[in-house]
Amino acid sequence: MDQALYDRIYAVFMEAQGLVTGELEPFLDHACAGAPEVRAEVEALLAQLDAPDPFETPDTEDPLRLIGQELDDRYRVSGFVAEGGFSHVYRGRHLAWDLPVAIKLFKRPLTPEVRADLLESFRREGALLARLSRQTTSVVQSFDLSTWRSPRGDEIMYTVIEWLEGAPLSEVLEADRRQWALPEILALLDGAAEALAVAHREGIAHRDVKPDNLFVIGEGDARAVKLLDFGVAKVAALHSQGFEATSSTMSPFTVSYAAPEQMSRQHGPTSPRTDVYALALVCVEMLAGRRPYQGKTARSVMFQALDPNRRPTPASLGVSLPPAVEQVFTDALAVDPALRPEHAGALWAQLKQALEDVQALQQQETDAPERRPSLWRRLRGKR
Amino acid sequence: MSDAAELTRLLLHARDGDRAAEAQLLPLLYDQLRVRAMAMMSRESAGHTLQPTALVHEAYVRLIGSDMPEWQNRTHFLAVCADVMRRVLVDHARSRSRKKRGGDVDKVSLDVGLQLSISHDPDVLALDDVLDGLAKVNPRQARVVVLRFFGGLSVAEVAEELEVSKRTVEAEWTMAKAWLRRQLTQEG
Repeated sequence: MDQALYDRIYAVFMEAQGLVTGELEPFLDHACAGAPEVRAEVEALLAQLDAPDPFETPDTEDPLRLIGQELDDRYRVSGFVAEGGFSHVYRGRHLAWDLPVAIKLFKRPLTPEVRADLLESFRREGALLARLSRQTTSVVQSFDLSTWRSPRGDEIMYTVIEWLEGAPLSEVLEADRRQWALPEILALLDGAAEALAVAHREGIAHRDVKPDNLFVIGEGDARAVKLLDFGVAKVAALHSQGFEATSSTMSPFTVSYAAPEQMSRQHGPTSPRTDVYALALVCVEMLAGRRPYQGKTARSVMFQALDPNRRPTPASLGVSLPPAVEQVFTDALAVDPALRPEHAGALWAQLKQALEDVQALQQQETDAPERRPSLWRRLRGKR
Repeated sequence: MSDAAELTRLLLHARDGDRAAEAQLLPLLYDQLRVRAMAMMSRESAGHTLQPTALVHEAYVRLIGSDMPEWQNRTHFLAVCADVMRRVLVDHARSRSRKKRGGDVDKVSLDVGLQLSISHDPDVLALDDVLDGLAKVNPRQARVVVLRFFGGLSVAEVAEELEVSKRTVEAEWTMAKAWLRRQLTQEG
């Protein structure tokens, strides 16, 4: 068989497999007229499709073939939401409480060794979320952790978390590409800063702060952000060796928001200052209305992120801000983590303070012409 | 070379077409996957089949692991590993069948975990032959199969790696699967 023949068989087969029984014969008569070898092949291939395969559904719509199934008699899976690096997210219902939940399942079969490691990090993430969500509503709540045995016999770990109605900030920004004003950004991302501040107080860095992980809920002025995915947060403690991870098996993050210390070990370990960098970068993206780093490849982004002379500050993207505000961003986006505010709470306080100072100054300037006479009057003792 | 940073550097360069980096990278992955595959095969009881995608995924977690960026590299890493995994399994199956020539050939089966829907798991060497045949008439479909079978990539990831639409991958996957089933059952 040659390529041309194969392609012809492929084309006919793809059309034929979508037809119902009555349509098939006339279609093949027409499509394979004068080419009995094509018809024979297509029919043989169609016969292969008839092989019993009860689980077969389009991979991108229900990759684990879970819709309609019950997990551990506690959750019914109702829809597929998204595919992540290591997991699939489904929508489901808590059967006893009749509440919507999000179910996150590991997507690949695992060797026993890796499964044990990941189970531990999964469990740790759940415990962490449970602890943090008691201190702030800006962290997504965690409900459960279990293992599901698939009909094929695979054991698939899953966690159950709060179902959120809304959209990730990445989608909000995509749908509304514009330059946001700083007060607007501070208002919207306040929850994210708070959630990070709470984590940082516990000695935990999120390490994957990016618009995909900032979930916008509510409408209009009631819009707020919840911080998602502590999956890569290392449960770490501040001790003599500094901010060091106790354990972690994986660290997926997006290079576009990664801090220099995540790209090159020469900048030291990751820490809350890694999140400060990423949160500042998200603010810059919103201020500028575009991605802070130019260049399409991961390599070019890495080179920029590591270059002390090319910091992605608002000014570098043509956004003109008062010097005090620009300075906060310059510090927060420093290559050297030591130069940045030490945690998200500090970054947020500095930004708010700089903004307040600027607003007070502007107020004075606006008020100045009218104040002069009053000052004059005061000096003359008439007031 | 346990340094994930060095491995990532090689991956990035290999991806950009640096042949020297690729030449360094492939043997590293080959050794890593071979050692793990042999360990699992010798430990598992007879009749148990090997899950190549689990091993490839494990290699990712072990080699790229903590502290290194994931980004689009994860998919690319798994794609590179898919080819290497195929090589490892084929080499192993060949050496086994050579040793046992004249006797009972102990076939290496693999659990590709992807609904080939044939009565038995395919023998590695038979699958390899059929894949070579498919590559001659439609290289991209053969590639889709390798990425799915040996790398465990999802349809969305295959689409990203091959820079085609998910719909295209779905269609080619459907065709390639039917084709493989037909070839394997004919020969089987």
